[in-house]
Amino acid sequence: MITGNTTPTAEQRLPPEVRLSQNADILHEIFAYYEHPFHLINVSKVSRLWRRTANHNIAWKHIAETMKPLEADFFWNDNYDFENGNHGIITAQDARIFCIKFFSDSCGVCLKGHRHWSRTSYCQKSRTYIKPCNCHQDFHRDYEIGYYSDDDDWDVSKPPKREDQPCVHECHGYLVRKCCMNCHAAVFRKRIITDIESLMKHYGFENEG
Amino acid sequence: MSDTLVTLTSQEGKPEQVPRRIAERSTLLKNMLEDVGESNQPIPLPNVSHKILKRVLEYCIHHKDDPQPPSDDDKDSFDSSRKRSDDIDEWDQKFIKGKEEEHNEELFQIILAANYLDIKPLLDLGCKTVANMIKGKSPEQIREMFNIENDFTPEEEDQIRRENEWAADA
Repeated sequence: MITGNTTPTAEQRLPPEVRLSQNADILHEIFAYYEHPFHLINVSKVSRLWRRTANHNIAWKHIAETMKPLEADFFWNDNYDFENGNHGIITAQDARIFCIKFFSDSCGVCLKGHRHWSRTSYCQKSRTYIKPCNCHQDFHRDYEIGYYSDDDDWDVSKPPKREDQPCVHECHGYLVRKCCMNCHAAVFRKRIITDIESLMKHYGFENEG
Repeated sequence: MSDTLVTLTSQEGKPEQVPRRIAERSTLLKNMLEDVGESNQPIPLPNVSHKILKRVLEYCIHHKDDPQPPSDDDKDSFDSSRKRSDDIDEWDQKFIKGKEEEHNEELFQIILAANYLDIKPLLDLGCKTVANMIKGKSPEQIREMFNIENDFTPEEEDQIRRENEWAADA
């Protein structure tokens, strides 16, 4: 006998538009049809749930767009089986590098690579990673920051290597000026970075401190 | 076995008989029928009204010969990042449009039913349609459309405004 309760629950009695607007899974599906993260700004202003879902969706687009080119030479190795959720020996450090790579190599708005950016930086003040575009280097050389060197050996305790090391002004994000789209990407990146921990959990990374 | 009839009971308790093959367009029903095996017991669907159930079955009948969509496990995770909302075929467009006067309510109910019954192509169709409807709308218009209460505190609103200042002025 297949059983089921046919009495509508309180949730079922809500109007369908309300039920739909409170269902994060469905919202996520809807937002996936926004080709461009830029277009998600309006929906992110609707409510807290819509904002969380939109931000998650933007982050997801970043992962999807940026992980692909890395497939061959970085993350898809014998120890990492992304599709089946077997995360092998990936450590929190790997995860950090992963995050740095996917946030730093593509623009948060156009999702294209911006190879003219210099190096990824770690802001000790905000404890986040960010990579300002070269056009901002002159504004932000006064902060003590760590760096992420070309050989992936980042060390936040070291001072900048060069005098013109790009840095992050006033805890990231608001270094934005309307001079180029890269600046816009920084705002998105700031918002996404705040979600890094949940992303790491989502993709099964251990938080090893 | 796939030609046997399955009885589905809507929220109101009204039965609807469909070939098993049609019912199995729903992953929820497919799994349920596999678990239960041969049984002529009706399957209650307390989350779906009779009217919406009929509409959902109309969709399933039209798409009965479509290949089953890949499961989430089989699919390339990255495909979903490149979804298009402008590729809805003509029949689907007419189907999802329904009757003009009750378009939105019915559409939302179909999406909820597709989500509950796990009919991915129908859920996708509904979500594409909603995405097309809300693109370009202001937050206020969207709240009105979905009867959403603005739950941001003034401080949060201020923060959001600051975060998006560059976009507003662009």
